[in-house]
Formats: sequence, C-alpha cells, structure tokens
Amino acid sequence: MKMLAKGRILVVGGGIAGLTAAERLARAGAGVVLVEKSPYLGGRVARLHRYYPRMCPPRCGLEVLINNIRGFPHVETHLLTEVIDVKKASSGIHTVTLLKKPRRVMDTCTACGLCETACPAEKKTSFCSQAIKAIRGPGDWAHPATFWVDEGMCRGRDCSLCVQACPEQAVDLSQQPEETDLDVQGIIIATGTELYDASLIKEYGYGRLPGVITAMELESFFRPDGPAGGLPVHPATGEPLRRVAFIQCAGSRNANHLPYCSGYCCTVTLKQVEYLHQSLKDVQTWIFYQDIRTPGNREEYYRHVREEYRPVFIRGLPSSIKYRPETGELTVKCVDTLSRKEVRGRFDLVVLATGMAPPALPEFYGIERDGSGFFSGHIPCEPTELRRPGIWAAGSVQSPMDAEESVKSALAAVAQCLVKLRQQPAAFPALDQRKCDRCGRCVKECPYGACIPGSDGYPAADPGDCRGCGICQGGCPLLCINLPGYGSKKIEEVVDKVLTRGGPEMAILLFLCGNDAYPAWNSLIKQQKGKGLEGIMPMVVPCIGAVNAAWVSEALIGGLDGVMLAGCRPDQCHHAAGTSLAATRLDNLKETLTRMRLEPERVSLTQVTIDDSLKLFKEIQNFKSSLEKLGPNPFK
Amino acid sequence: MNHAADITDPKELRVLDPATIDTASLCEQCGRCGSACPALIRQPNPTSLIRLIQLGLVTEALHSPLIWSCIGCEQCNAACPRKLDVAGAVRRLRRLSAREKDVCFPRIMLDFLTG
Repeated sequence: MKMLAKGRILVVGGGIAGLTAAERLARAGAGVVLVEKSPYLGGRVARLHRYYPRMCPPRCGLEVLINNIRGFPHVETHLLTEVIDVKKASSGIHTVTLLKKPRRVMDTCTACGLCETACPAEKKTSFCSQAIKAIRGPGDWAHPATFWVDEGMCRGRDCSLCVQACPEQAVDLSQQPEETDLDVQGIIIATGTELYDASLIKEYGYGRLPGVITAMELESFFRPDGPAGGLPVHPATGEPLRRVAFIQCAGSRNANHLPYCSGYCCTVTLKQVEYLHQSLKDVQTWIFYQDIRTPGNREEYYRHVREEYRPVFIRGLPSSIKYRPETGELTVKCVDTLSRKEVRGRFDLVVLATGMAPPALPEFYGIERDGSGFFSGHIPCEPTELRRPGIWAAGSVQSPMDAEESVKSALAAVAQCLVKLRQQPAAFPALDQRKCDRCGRCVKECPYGACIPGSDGYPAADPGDCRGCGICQGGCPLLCINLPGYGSKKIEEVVDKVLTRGGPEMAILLFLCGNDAYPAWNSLIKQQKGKGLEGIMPMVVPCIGAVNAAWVSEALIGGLDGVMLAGCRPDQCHHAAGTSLAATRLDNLKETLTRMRLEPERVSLTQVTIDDSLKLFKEIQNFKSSLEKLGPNPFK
Repeated sequence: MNHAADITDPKELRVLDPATIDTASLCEQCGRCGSACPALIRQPNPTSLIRLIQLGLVTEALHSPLIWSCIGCEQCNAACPRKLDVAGAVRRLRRLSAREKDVCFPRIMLDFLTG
C-alpha cells in the first residue's frame, strides 16, 4: 500500500515535543502523520505528577494538545507504530517505512476493565509498582482510552479469557503486524530518550536494595495509579516516609557512566522535595549534591524550596549505600566536602536523580550525532536540523531536556519545517545537462544529502533542501554545475583580467570561504591598508569546498603565479566537509600539476577562523616568499 | 588549624611530583573517594587531602596521618567519576614526606599499631 502525501509531515514520537509539533503543524494547515511506538500518547510527561515551576499537572497541557489534534481531519495518528526505514525518494520527498504492531483491542473498547480482571498473565516489574496484566488499560491518564495486549506477556489464543470476558467483542487476538510505505515532505524526530538505567550504578544498589528508587519512580508515588494509590508511603512497609535522601548526579558527570550533566535533575529533586513536604508533615529531606545547577529563573525556585522547606544540602556524593534488613534502613555515608567531615545518615528511602541516556535511535540515512550521542543538530545556526534537509529533531532526542525546553525545541522544529514547506526560490546550483555524464560525484559529496539522482539519472535537488554551499560545483569533474554568482564564468573573467594586464609583478588568486576567511581578510585589509597584499586577487566562495580543482589549474595555466585557498578549520566548517574535500582535491591536483611541469607548491590551502587575520597575513607572506623562490609562472 | 593558611603555588611539588599536581587540578571535589576510603585513620579523608594540594598547602598534606594509614586498596580510584589516580597521589606523597625534616611516622598511627 502506498499513500502519496504532498505537503505532509511525519512526526515521530507522541510525547510532549511530538504532540506540540503535530498540533502546531496541523494548525498551520500542513498534513501530519503522528507515529508513536507505545500504545498511548503523552510520553514521559504523562507519567509525571507535576511540572515545575508552576506545579501544574501535566495532564492539562497534554489534554489541550490532544483535543486539538483530534479535531483536525488532516492529522493521522498511528499508535504502536515504529519507523523502520527512511529513504530519499526524490528531491524533497522521503519514503518512510512504518511497522504497525497489533493492538489486539479494537476501537469499540469502552475501557470497562473486565478483560484485565479475567487475564491470568500477571507480572510485577519493580518493588514500588503495582503488578501488571498482559491486557491492560491506560493508567491514571492516557489517550486513547482503549486497552491493549502486551505481546510479550500474553498467553495467546489458547487462553482467550479476555476475548470471552469482553462484553463488546473488542478483543481480537488474531491481529498481525503490518508494514506501510509513506511519502512525506519532512520528518520531525521527537522520539525522546530513555532515562539512564540506575541499576548500572552498582554502588547504589538500585534494583538490589529495597528503598533505593529513581526520581521517576518517586513521581509515581504521588499519582493515583502509583504503588500506594497516591499516598507517599514506603512501598515495602506502608509506613509514611520520614527520612528521604536524594542523591544528585547519579550516573551523571561521571566517566564510568554519563559524562555530561543532564541539566534538569537538580530542579526535579527540588520539585520532589516540595511534594514530600507538602503531603507529609514530619518528613525530613537531605540532598547529596556536587553542584546544584538551577540556571535562569530556576534559581528562584531553588530559593523558594530552600527557604520554604529547609532540606539539608550536603556537598558531597556518597560512594555506596548500605542496607540493614533488621530495620529496613538504608545507610548513606559521605564526606561533606565543605566541613571536611565524614557524615552518615539513615534513611527510609533513597532517591537517585538519574539523567537522560543518549537516544537509542537506529542509525539511518546518515543523520549526525554529537559527541554525547544526541541528535543536537547544527548548533547554533540550525539547531534542529540534522544536516539532512527535511529531517529535524525536537525534544530530548536533541539533548537532555525538561518539558519546557522540549516544547521550545518542538516549536523551533515546526518553524524550520514551515520554512521548507513555503520555501521561496533562492540561489541554487544550475546543472548543464548537455555536459553532465551522470557520474554521481555531486550526489556522493553533498553534505546535506540534498542532491540525489532523479528518475532520468541526472542529479537534482529540491530548492528547500539545498544550503547553497557549492560543494557539488567544486567536485564536478566536467564543470557542469554552476552556483549563481560563483561559477566557472566568473573565474574565467578574473584570469582574463590578469592576462590582459600582463606585467612581471606577482599575481596570486586567493579563494576565501565566505563564512570565516572572508571576514578575516576584510579586517586584514583594514589593518594593513593594502601593504604586503599587492598582487593578491581575492575571490569569495560560499564554502572552500566550492572551488573546483579545474579552476586552480586553469588559473595557473593562464599565467597566475599561485593560487591560495583559505577555508575554515575542519571542525568549524559550516558545511561539515568543505575544508577536508578541498584538501583532498588539491592533493589530487598536485599530481596533474607536476605532469604539466608546474611546481605543486604554487597551490596552498590554509585554515583560518574568523579572527585569524594575522595568521592569514603570515600565511600569505610565507606563500609569497615561496613563490618568489620558485620564480614567475613559466606559462606567463 | 586556628590561623588562616596561605594559599600558595606548590612550586616544589610541581617539580618533584607533577602527577599529583595533575590529579589535584582535575579533581572536582565531589567527595566520593572520601566516602569510599576504608582506611581506619582518615585524617584528613582522601577528598580533603587532594583539596590541600589544590590550595597549595603541601606541608599540611605531607604531615597528614592519612598518607600512612592508606592501605593501597584503590577504592578511591574506583569511586572517582573522573578516573583520577587518588591512591597514586597518596603513595607519592608518602614517599615525598621523607624529604621533610620534621615529618615522622605519626604518633596516632604508632599508638594504633602498638596498641
């Protein structure tokens, strides 16, 4: 089955970021396909008790989003569905393969719960959660209010007790998974990420010691579907909590676990301290921390919690937790680095403030991860774009985020997405089809995957996908791609000018990358007032990767004494591969030059950053003196 | 100490033991080594010993009983989130203390060992 969707956007993930993106796109009139892996919309936010700093229940915001989405006929929602493949079908269109797993309960379900009572397959996932059944419904809050069958636990059609129990005949255990292909104009990846697995922090004994829980589990204590039906009592003993410890940076900022700071855990702990003190009169709270990180307006919240509830802050992280079975108490020992004293405390409950692990997203279609393993995009210029035009990231798949930041990043992705849908024609490389032999080098080298072979085999790019770097022009062996304003014609003009001028003085052609090298050159002219820069002919290109090796050899054959290329540092290259591609091309060119009896030293590549004007000057002087040693170009 | 100690650059240590200076300058004082240390006499605890080096109070560090009570179990290294060699620093300080004129095996350790 193939559905053609023009102007349709795929939103992957039905959490707060995905729902925000889908709702805003739908309001802007775009067709939206919303895909969610789990049986319910809402994601992790739906499992929270309160948001900070306003302490409102997350249901409120989610409810508004979902109701709006349901009101739009041009939004399709697929639950229990995953994206298993993404291909670029033609310019500007992606073909996505979706795998829809069976829900095994039909929409006629009234969520009466008789099937769940009848189901014999039961499992308890952790000591502080209620047992779950193979067929189960939404928890405290969820959309849709329809049950589903957990494939991993269900005993199959031989059991069928749920089928018999259902008064609406809504259970169908024979449903099978199905694959669908879908054409979309853009994809917003809002798949989020998982919290770091606390059981990997062996020294804190999560999963082994009763009473050691994660912040997310503490959140469920306050919810009606929590272990004690919303009462903040100890899950094992049923006693009200009296002494609770929070351990910050649990598995974060640690070379053995997550090397980075997730940024939200400190505020989450403060929020949970507030819950505890609000619902229990006699509770005492301790926070073991290394640094409390509450930037911006969260500092206000930190002050509020600190002054209102007076938790004890201990600057020092414990290295282990000990459990006494006789008393059921947990002993936490640590060094208070402020007083240099060793301190020890006994607690009913220890809460680990875990961070977010990098997203476990399959590698597809060459989208870039950053050093921490997140899909952060090109920071800061294109923060939601994954160097694949038409694919954007939103929410915690980008970096660890709280709900507020997720919504912001979703709105940013929507803005980028609407720009693409309403793209106006811009400077765009033109292809001369008479010359092109369809070698495919431009397709291979395009750093954005924008240039792809069309149905006739000739390369084509969607104007909305092209970022105008000109790397295709630089790589084309037949010089048949021309970026307006930067093409081969212009270079011919420059060479002609030198030829007509003649004269014995030195002439150097200097290609400057428009992002960094050109501004550096500009300040250099101001500083030097032209001194020491005689005979240099600067020429701006959008990226140093846009310089074709043929231009360089043409300029040298035309009688110029030398050609110099100034690009960005490879790690700063705006178009990722520009400088490294230029280096490879010049290396290859050197062989050709030697065959033409031209010294390869007449060509030079330098890397400059925007404030490197002095370095650029030195490099130019060095290049000039080496050219003087070589003497004038023999073709002059 | 009753009076304020001068914060200085541990010049001599920079020459004699650059690895310890390195360890100290990378330490973020999270406190995990201090709570992991099983040595019986922790005066000061490993975290605070490293802090003394950071502050340049090398003499105080060389006089601390901890460098003698360290049993070399390297629990501190295992607890360190930056993978620093705390135990190595303690070991090297013990060796260096031989250069100090007035440093001798601390009384408190002697009492402990001889009962």
